Amino acid sequence: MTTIKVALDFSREPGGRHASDGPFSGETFRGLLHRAFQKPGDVTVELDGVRGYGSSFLDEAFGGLIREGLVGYAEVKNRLVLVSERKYLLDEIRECIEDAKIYG
Amino acid sequence: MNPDQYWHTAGVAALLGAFISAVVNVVGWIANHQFSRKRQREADCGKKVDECKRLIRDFRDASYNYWLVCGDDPRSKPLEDQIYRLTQDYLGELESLKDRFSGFSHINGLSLKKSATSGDFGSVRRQANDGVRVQVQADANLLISALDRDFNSQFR
Repeated sequence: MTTIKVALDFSREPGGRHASDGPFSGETFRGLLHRAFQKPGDVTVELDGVRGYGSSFLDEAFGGLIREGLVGYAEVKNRLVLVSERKYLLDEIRECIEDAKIYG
Repeated sequence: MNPDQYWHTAGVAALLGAFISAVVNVVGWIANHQFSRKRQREADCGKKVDECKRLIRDFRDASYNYWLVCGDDPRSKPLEDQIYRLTQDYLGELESLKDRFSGFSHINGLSLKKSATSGDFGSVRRQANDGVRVQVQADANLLISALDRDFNSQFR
């Protein structure tokens, strides 16, 4: 199992969609997620402890993982474990994944 | 009627009267208690709904001003920080409302957040966008209307 604590392993201020938007964009985080999915076992993402997440960041990171063909929809559904005290955040990421379903 | 019968009848009548009075008092107390509880619940819910609406309006206004300027404008970054904070505030308050009062369970606050923070949100190359501003206002108004409607359907 691989665990990514966003606040510790990535940034307390994630933001932006593309890598050109800044060092802690959704696209950059997607690379971290992709590397985690290349290892065996579940991928746990602990989301709390950061300033917040824009929808552009979440869509590019989680939806983009499927849209870009890096990880299949079924694999994301089976292996991704999201941890947050904020239910709405979990709901939004699940929506990003469902919206990208047609691609993977 | 001899004196014994008189006192016996009077005693039974007095007991019956006391019993009926006690029952009326208990029923009245229960009804009053239930009514007070309902009023208290309505007041508590009303406060939470008002707080949700205030935070949604703040979020709407910050988002409106954010999409009024481009990403390289010096006003953009502080507004972006404000939007992050207000997102947690209004969605957190909405979740708390839904946890405490079941009548709001179908309300979805995410559409508003998505309207305001999708696209180029967070990019220095972001362009001011009239379409996003209009959509944010429309979604905020829809959310506020849904809160009012659900509150009224439960308590009015």
